Amino acid sequence: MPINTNQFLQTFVDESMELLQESEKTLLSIDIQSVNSENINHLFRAMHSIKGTSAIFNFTSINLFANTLESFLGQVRSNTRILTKADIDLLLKSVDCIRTAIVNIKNKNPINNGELSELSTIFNEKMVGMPHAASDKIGSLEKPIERKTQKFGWDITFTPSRNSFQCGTEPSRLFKQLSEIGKLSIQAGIDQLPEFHQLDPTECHLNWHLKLYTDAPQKEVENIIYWVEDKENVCITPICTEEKESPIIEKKSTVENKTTQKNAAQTTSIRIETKKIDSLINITGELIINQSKLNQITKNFNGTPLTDIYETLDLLETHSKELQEKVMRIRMVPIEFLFNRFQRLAHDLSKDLGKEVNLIIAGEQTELDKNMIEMLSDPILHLMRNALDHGIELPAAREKAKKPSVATIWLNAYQKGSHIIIEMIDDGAGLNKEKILSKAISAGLLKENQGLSDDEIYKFIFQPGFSTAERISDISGRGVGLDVVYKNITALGGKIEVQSKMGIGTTFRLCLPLTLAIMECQLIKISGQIYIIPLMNILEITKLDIKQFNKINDRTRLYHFREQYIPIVFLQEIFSIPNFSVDIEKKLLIIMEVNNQLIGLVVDELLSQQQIVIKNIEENYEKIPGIAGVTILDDGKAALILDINAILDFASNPQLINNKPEFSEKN
Amino acid sequence: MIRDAKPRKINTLEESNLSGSFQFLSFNVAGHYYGLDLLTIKEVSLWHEPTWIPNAPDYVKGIINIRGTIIPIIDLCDRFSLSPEKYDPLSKRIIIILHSKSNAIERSIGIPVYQVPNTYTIDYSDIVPFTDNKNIILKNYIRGLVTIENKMVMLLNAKDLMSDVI
Amino acid sequence: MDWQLKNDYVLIHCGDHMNLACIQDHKKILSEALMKNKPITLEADKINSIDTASLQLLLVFTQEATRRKIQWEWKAPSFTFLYVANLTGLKELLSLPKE
Repeated sequence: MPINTNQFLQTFVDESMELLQESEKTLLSIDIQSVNSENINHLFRAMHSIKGTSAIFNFTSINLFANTLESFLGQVRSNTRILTKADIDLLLKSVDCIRTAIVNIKNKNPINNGELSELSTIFNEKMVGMPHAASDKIGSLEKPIERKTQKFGWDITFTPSRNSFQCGTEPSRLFKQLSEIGKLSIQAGIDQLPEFHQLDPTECHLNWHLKLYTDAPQKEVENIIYWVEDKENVCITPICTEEKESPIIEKKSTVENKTTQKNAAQTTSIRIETKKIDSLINITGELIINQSKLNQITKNFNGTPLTDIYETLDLLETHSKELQEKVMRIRMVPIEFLFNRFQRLAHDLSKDLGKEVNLIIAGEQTELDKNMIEMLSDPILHLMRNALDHGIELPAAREKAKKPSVATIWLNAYQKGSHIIIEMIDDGAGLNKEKILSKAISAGLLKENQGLSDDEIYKFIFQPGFSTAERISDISGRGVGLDVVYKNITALGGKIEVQSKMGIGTTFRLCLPLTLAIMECQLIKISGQIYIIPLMNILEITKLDIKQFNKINDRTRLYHFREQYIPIVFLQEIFSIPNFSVDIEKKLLIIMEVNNQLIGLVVDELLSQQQIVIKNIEENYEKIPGIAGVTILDDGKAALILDINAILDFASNPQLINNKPEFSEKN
Repeated sequence: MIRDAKPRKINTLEESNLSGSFQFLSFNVAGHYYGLDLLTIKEVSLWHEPTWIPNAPDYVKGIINIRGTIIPIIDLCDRFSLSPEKYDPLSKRIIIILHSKSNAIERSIGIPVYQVPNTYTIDYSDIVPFTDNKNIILKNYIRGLVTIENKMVMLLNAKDLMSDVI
Repeated sequence: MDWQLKNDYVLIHCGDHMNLACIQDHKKILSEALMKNKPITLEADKINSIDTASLQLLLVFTQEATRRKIQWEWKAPSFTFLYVANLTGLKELLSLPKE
């Protein structure tokens, strides 16, 4: 096969990017005053990994740079160096640099070695000043395996088996990699070559004797040979004396294949939890069973009742749909991939602007379709830039306003029914209602004194070209941002809302539809019917103790729970289920938390906990108050998912109950 | 077969001007025979016990799951205020799934029926107008009447039935 | 890869990709060329990628031509060809030019 490292290259790119991302996160979280040794270890290991893998692929500049960083971190780790803020910034810059190099590799562009060596020099200069600099050898973590007597290199014999080519072994690739770590001298053995007419060209009849002159330890050579299919036909022994020179292959610095590869197309990849793959495998198994069942039925067709066929066809369709859902689930990735980038942005931007900001992230495990995450990147980026540039005041101004000099931005994500909510909240200056109003009027978008509500006024910021910024920075303020954000979010099928209070802060709330809504939940039984409660709302489940139960009046009941009195609801009352008695003997109480309020729901029976797919009831019916959605249980029956928020509302406003939806009101 | 693909308000007089054949599904509810245009019928499904839903009109018996889609169940007995049907455990209960497409969105509802339905092909000219004004609810749904095998079948307008809940 | 009969020699055009997938075809073509019993020129300027198996084939081919006393020579071997031949220690054995 032609030299083709593509398949492994993607893995290298993915793994390295992940390591870099984690390193960045770690660097941003380091507290100079009390450095956590685990963080340093983490960074050290990351650089060590990148050093190793980049060597395998002959990315020498990255390998050497990672080596330098590893040494530097090694000094910090062994307490011969104290980490400074400047060091952290430099390390962050290094992460960026390696990241750029890897992106170039991915896009088959040349790596810019300039910046890498520049940074490398800076680190090296720093280290030179230090006594007891950490050793440069790889394997400072591992016990050294190389024998001290070996100084000149490795003698390698390689005798591939006959079918070695067909197994994917390409000797030229192997030799190339070896030539990158030292001077390689090659001798090909042609003693086994048959005559032309007897030659089966797919079989390998060649063997090789190599001499690799290098400082690299055996392990490094073995790393390279690891990729060879029949590595057992490789024999490595150390060289101790100079031997007669054979043609030497010089180390080549260009790594990229000039050869055109058929698969030059970009591939993107997703990392998937194996349990998602497992469930896929299960369902395909079921599909195959159905298929063979159908096969059998049609083969032995002698008037088999059609119902058998219909039932099997039914099952087939159900399973196919399930398969589709499971495959879609694979594309769901946690939003933390997106959010983590913003930590970095917040750090850099706030530095540039001379502001101090703390970014707090919550709900990063909330899952979204990968596509959507990629499309959210720009809009949220812009919102954050806006917040940092215009919303957050300079520290001096904040102190004057009696606010803490370090501003806070919260980035939250959570699932609400079949939607994902992403909030960006800042405690900055808030939107200036007056300014927006006057700008709107002067732009002709509004007539004077039209008497709009605050919310309506704020909506103007999403108009194209609208900006009340006094100065246009190159970050934002050009007025071309928020309308694009609005368009982008709307294009995704979502909504964007803004709330603000002058002097207090601003909240942007994005509401996005889920392509696939999955939730962990608790199944319960009330009056013989199964209902679903989202697990994330459940605080505790307890046996209803009559002694703690206090009836205030017909509608209001309180339960004494851990020093608090919490309201209790009976679903039967909220949903007007007939023939229901408020009998609390032998019942269970589910304590739920929503919007920082506690509420107790009385249930008859506790069933299983499981992951469910939320289905929309509005496809063929109306929105039902109190119901967040529907799911399909294992027996194929539909079950209602309770909307805990709405139930809380009902508990506080009993008059909301018995308000039947008006069917004349459509959408 | 003449098929008018556009959805339209059925005017039985208009109908009698159409020529050609017309296929419908005939089924029995509470002793009366009703019919639905075969084109509006997505499938006839085995019985699924509906899941009760709160705060729904009395004729919405609940929801069922058909291959991953949630479909509401509309009981015609309750809808037309007919005297309730006696359920014979030996008879085969089924659900007729109606569907309609508007703006490329397909919506469905299910109608429980306690007997197996039949399919008939008639001529448009066989359809006569419905003149009984006693049942004020029912007459809003009826396109016309046809007599099959000495039985009177009331042809229903599927779209009207569906617009009740969607 | 294909071959052309010129007035007094056979010209073999090595294709742009020489790999295991097309190697049986290549062997057939080389075999046909040999049967002409005329001097052979191997034009290798287009070779963009080549694997060890193909180098092995070419080696055995040139050895056979020599054995049959058929003159053969390379014409404009591409950089890639020279590079990979060098890497596998076969450059000299293939009588490829030093530069």
